[in-house]
Amino acid sequence: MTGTATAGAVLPRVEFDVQVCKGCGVCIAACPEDIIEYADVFNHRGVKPTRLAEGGLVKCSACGNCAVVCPDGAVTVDNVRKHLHFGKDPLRIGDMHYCPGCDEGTVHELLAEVIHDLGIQEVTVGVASVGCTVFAYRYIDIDWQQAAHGRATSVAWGIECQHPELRVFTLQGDGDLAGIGIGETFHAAARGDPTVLIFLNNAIYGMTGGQLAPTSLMGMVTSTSPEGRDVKNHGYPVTMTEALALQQGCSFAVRTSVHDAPSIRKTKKYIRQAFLNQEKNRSLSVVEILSACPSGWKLDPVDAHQYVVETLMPAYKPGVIKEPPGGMPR
Amino acid sequence: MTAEAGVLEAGPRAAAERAVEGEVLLKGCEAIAEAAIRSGIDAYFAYPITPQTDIPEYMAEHLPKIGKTYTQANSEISAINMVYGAAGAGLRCMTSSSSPGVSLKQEGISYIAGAELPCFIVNVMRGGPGLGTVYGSQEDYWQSVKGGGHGGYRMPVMAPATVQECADLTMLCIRLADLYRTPTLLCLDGTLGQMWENLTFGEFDETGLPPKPWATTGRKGGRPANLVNSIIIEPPELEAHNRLLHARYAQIAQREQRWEEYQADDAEVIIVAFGLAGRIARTAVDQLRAAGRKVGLVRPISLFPFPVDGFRPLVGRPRKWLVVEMNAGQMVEDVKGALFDLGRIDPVKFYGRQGGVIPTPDEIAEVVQREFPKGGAR
Repeated sequence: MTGTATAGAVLPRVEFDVQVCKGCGVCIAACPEDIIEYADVFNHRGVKPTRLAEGGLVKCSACGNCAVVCPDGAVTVDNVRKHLHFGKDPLRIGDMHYCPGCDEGTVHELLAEVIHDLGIQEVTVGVASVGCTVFAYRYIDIDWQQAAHGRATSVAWGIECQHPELRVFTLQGDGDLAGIGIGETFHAAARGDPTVLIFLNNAIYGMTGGQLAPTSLMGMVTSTSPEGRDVKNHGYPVTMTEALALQQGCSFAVRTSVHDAPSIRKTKKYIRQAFLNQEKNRSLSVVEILSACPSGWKLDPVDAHQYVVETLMPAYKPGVIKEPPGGMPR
Repeated sequence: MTAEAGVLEAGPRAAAERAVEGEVLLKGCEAIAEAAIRSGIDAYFAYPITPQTDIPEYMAEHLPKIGKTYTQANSEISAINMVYGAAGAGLRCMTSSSSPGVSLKQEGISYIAGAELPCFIVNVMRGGPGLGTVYGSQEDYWQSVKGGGHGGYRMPVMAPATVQECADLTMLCIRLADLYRTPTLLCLDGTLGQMWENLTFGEFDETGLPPKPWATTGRKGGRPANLVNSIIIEPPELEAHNRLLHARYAQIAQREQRWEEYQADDAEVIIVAFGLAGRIARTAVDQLRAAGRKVGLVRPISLFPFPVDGFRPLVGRPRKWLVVEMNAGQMVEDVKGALFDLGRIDPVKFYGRQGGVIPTPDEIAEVVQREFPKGGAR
């Protein structure tokens, strides 16, 4: 659905790609004007896509929230009056395999935007290890290496050790980074590798279908903790970013989330600062992103984002954990 | 590749600083390290384990001086994954370990094979299974040549018998890695790794080595994105990929067989042994010849590909075969297979010592006399 300027008013252009939409509904929740709704008909994915409600365009403030929160880049908003554009970055490619409402798509978009904004797409190499992010190479148009489960930071060091001109980042989940790969991750911080570590913490093994992860919270019900996480059987959750921040070779550590438009905008700022810190301080930068896994958590996508706020955030407090020497990069 | 200004480049000048011109006296492990530096490796990733720690020590001393990377990883697993990353970024790179550590590397080697990355790996074998012993052994033959990791890959495996061969085969392995886009393995027992001998370094042969346009060095100039990857989810696509890999293995099997034949032409009994066992068997052959026995030796140098061609000229008439290994009998299967493929059903006997015990020439000669007595039935 495309809006066009009508006589006397400069209307925004709002477009919903009905074929890309997975019907997660986070755009509906994010709209301050309450003008987004589900369509009546199914798309090729078998879901009812979202659309602008009848007559919604005139009420639209062109805030861009719907485009910002859409994990699949299905929404484009042009704020014609302020010359603002919200939508998929050109570096972002492909049709994502992620479940409806999964935050990984959002993080891909932020990475693409930051890499694009900084103009480093010709020197950036991503490393994605086993887990849901393993297909990340399909979605951001840069060089990639796929790594074995847990080994991304070691692979990253191999890439950058003789290529100081390269900007290497890893995209890792909590099972990968805080479970099987905790040694590799920890020692990347100890060595002070100039890697940007994007840590998606959804407190669960997503790709294998929702098993207990090192970061699963106390009491959390998963397919391998059916009675909830308890100390006797499962021990305590790992607080990885704090542990990394304690290492001298880690110069920047932050925890953030992408549960709504403001938090997504803040996370973009942090990712940008991590890449700036990579250039400036040549040591490890960590951005932990609390992420919703609606499928693994067995929650509706909108409820899953509420779960991030109500359950994950109290246990994993967002904020800057370690500020780089010389202050936050700008 | 990006040596800082003022840092020495690898080559004659750097080698002169290491005082390794002309004939020099080095340990097997040091010869491997020096040969790798002369082959232009950009990066070496280490983890200490006996009896190969002389390699990381040599590398730690010399690689940083010429602007190359020496990194001591937090584990063998981490080291092999650094190799994966570095090889994927177009570096000529290597790691080394000993048996238990090489077991840890197997996952990474499988990924490297799947992603078609060139790299060089050294296994200075010690006795196993488990933690075993630090004394030299050949108990990793199967692991080395049959695909120690998952997924049915192969890789060129070379087995030196002298310190000179440690150097020569290191250069060959590094060359074959780049030539075939494959991991290559130098497989020697710990005793040879610790043995001092004189040697002379040859020149690394760069001719015909392909460029690496697939390397993840950034999309410079807006070229299409490169991907280093071993995940191919769709079965028909993975099958097609595996067929290409196995076609390459077949090509390697055809072109890269290497062996030493010693006094085998007229021999009634031929000993087959690789590495240090082959060298000891050679002395046993001399002893048996002095005692009037017609005994010869085939020493496989390439373990994959197994040098079937080395047996081809020897199967024109019946012989008796004795396979000697420093294990409970692993290569013996490939000897039997090679002879069967060549249409022979000669008797094949096996003699082995295990757990780090080294057979003596006398012992091998005695086995030949006992198993194949002079004038015994053919």
